Amino acid sequence: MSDYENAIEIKGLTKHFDGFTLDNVSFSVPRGSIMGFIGQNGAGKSTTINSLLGIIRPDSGELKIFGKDTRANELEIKRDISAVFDELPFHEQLNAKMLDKMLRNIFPTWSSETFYGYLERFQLPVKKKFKDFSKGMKMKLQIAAALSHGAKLLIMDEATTGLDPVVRNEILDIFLEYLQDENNSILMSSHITSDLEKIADSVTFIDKGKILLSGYKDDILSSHGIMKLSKSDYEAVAKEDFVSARVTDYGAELMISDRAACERKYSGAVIDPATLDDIMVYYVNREKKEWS
Amino acid sequence: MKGLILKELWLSKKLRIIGFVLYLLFLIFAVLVKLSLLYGNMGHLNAGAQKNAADLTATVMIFAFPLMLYSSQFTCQIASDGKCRFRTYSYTLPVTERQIVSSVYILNLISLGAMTVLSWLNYSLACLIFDRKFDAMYLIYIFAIGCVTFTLAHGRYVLHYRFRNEKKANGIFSAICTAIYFGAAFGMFSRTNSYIEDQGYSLSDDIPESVMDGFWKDELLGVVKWLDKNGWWLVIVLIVGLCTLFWQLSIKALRRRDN
Repeated sequence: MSDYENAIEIKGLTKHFDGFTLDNVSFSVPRGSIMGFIGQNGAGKSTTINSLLGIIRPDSGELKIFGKDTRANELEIKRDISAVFDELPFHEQLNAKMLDKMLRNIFPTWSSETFYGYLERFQLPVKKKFKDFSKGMKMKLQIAAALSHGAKLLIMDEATTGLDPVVRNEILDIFLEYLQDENNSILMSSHITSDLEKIADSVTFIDKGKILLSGYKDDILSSHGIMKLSKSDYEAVAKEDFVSARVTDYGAELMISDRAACERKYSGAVIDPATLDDIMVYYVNREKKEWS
Repeated sequence: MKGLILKELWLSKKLRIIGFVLYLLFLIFAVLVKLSLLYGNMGHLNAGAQKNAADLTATVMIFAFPLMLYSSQFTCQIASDGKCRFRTYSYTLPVTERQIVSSVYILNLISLGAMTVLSWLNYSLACLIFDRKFDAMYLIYIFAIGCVTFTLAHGRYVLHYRFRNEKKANGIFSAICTAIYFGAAFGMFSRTNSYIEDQGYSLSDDIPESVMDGFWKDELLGVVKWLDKNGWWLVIVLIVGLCTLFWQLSIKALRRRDN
C-alpha cells in the first residue's frame, strides 16, 4: 500500500437524486496532505464523501483510495481509513470502555493504548454513557476512535460544525500532529472555511453538484482577490474578468480569479486579498453575476 | 465479528434482564400457588378444583414461561443502529453485511441454547413443584417453541433490514401474522363444519362440547401421525430452511443502500 501518489482519486463521479445531481465530480487528495472540501449546505459534499465511503452507490465514476478501486478492495481499504461524521454514530447506552472493546474486535490494528491515551488527553470519562456527553466530547470521542487504529486516511464530514472555537482549535492541532506522518492524509468537508484556511494544503470547492475550484490553497488564495471599484469604474469592467460582483450604492466589490492579469489590465484599482469565505460567497453568486 | 456481537449484547442487556426478572417473578407466583394449595386458602378447595389449579399453573409454567423467556432474549438492534447512525458508520468499518447480520444470528442462537437449557430446568422444577411425571418429550416441545420463536423473530428482522423503519416493519409483520391467522382460522372453520356434519350433527344444532374436543384431538393427532409417518426431520428442514432464507434476505436487504 506504499506505492500510491494520491490518497484519494475521484474521476467522473456522478449521482442523480430527485432534484439534485452530483455532476462529473473529479479531484484528488495527494498523499500526506490535508484537503478542505468546501461548499454551502446541499452542494454535494456529503454525497461525494458518502459515495467514497460506500455509504451510497454512485451512478458512475471511478473512486480510488490508496490507488485501489473502492468497490473491488472495500474491506482492505476500510481497515486503513477512518470516517468522522457531524454526529456521534455510536449508541448512547455505550461508554468509551465498551467502544474500545467493540472496535478492538473489529479493527485488526486497533490500539487500546492509543485510544485511552486520547481519552486522557481529551479528558473524556471512560465509564460515562455517551448520552451524557456534550457535543464537543462526542466529537473528541469520534476523533479518538478514528485515530486509534493507525488509519492512513481520515475522511471527515462536517466534523467541526457546531463546536466552539476552543474545541475546534484543539481538534485542528490533533490533525496537524496526525499529518506529521507523511503517509497520513485528510479529506475534511466543512463550511467553516476559517478552519480550513488554518490547516488545509489544498481546497476543493463544490457548488450545486459541480466542482468549481480544486487546487493548492495558497495558489487559489493568491490568484483570487476582491477588486474594489466605484460604480462608474465598475461599468467599464468586462464581465468575463470577474466571477461575480457585489454592488452597493457606494460602489462594487468584484471577485477576480486572475489577480495578476487584473492588476495589469486595471492598474490603479484596489485589489484586496480574498478569503476562502469570500471565494465561496462570490462563486455561489456567479450565475447572477451581480448581487448586493 | 466479535465486536459486533458484543455491541448487540450490550444494547440488549436491559431487555434480557427484564425478561429474566419477569421469569423469576412468575416462578415465585407458581411456587406461591403450590404453597397455597398445600397450606393456604387453595387447600380448602375440593380435590378436583385443586387438581385443576395445579394443572393450569404447571401448564403455564411449562409452556408460557419458555415462550416469555425466548421472546425476551431474541433481539436485533437494527432499528437503534439506524436511529443513532451506527448503520451508516458500519459501512465504513472493515466488516461485511454478512458479518453484521451473522452477529445477530450467532448471539440469538447462543440465547436459544441458553434459554432452552433454562426452560428445561424450568420444566424439571415444574415437575418437582407440581408432582408431575417427567416426560422427555416435553423437552422436545420446549425446544420446538424456541425454534418457532427464533424463526418468527428473524422473519420480523428481515422486514426491519428491508424497510429500515421499526414501525413500518412491525406493522407489515403484524399484517402478515394476522393474514396467516385468519387464513388458518377460516381453514379450521371449514374443517370444523365438515367434522360436525360427519358426526351426524347439523350446523344449527347445539353441538356438545365433547364433539369439539374430539375434533381438536383428531386434528392434533392427525398432524402428529402425519409427521410420524413422513418424518420429523421435515420440521427441522423447514425451520432451518426458513432461518437460512431469512438470513440471506437480511444480508441482501442490508446491502441495499439508502439514497
